[in-house]
Amino acid sequence: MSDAIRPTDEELLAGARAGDQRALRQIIERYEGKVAATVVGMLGAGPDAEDVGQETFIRFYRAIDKFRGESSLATYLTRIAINQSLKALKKRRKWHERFLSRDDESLSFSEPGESGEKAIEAVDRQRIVHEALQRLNPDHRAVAVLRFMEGHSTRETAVILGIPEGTVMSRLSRATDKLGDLLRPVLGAQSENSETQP
Amino acid sequence: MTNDRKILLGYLEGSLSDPDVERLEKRLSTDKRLREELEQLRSISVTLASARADGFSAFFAERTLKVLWSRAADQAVPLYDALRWVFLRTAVAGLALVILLGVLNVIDYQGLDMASSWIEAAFGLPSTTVEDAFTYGLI
Repeated sequence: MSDAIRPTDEELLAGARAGDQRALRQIIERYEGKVAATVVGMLGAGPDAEDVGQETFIRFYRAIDKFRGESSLATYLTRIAINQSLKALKKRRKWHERFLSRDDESLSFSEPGESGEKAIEAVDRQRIVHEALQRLNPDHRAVAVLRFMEGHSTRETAVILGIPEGTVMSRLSRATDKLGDLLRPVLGAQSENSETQP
Repeated sequence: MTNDRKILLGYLEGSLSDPDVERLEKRLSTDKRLREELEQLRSISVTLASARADGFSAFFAERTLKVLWSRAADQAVPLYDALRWVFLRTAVAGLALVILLGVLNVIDYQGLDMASSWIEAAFGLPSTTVEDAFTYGLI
């Protein structure tokens, strides 16, 4: 669809508020990728992530009149997605505490096992990255997902999470320390590939 | 967090001022450890960005709308709201009834001159003291 006939977010919001189902559907389709990146980054791929993605849009629609446009629609949806993901993680942690021992939990991360020299397939890399993210504390994970995966600035990340920029930086620093260790095999392959890039 | 780390993250984000960038690039040209740390941060950033999910499975929008409309139909009036509606009206009606009975009592008792105060009249209490009640075997 060309930009000339592509409705703006404001037009779609007005339509959705007036009960136009097509407008709501277009909002979902337009921001599905954004919400998926946040939710899958936070929870890993799977049915949980899709449920939280749906819940994000349902909550957004139910409170659509409260959206005043102070932030962009993308930022607003990302904030809902992060809050819903953190809620799901809490639920998941309670479930794990109730039904699994700590040993079982630590087994959920499968070590890559491959040497850094060996080429790692894209699918494997994605899996390893998501498993590494799951090993981070949820607060640190949220910062890493928003800042690195989604490319939000430190300031935007602070606004989305409702925390000071200094806290974003310190969480990001801790997250990168741990990710550096967890992603070592992938980073080796990545740096080999990026050596040719500026 | 080390100040270097903060500067490097700012450098990658592009939020450093021009003089800060110049200072950092000068240091990077001589400091191997700093270069390695920058490379590590850049690799993490690129790796995470490349693992970004693009969307959910096919027909996500349709499924979401289906869930939304089915919930809307099931919960047209959520139970909490429905109960609140009933209890609020019951409480108001009960209070109005108590006030009405009190007013009727006051009118009746004052007409018969049986109460020594309006509180006794409103609650339909006998005009007696606790001492009298014991004396005459009322309690």
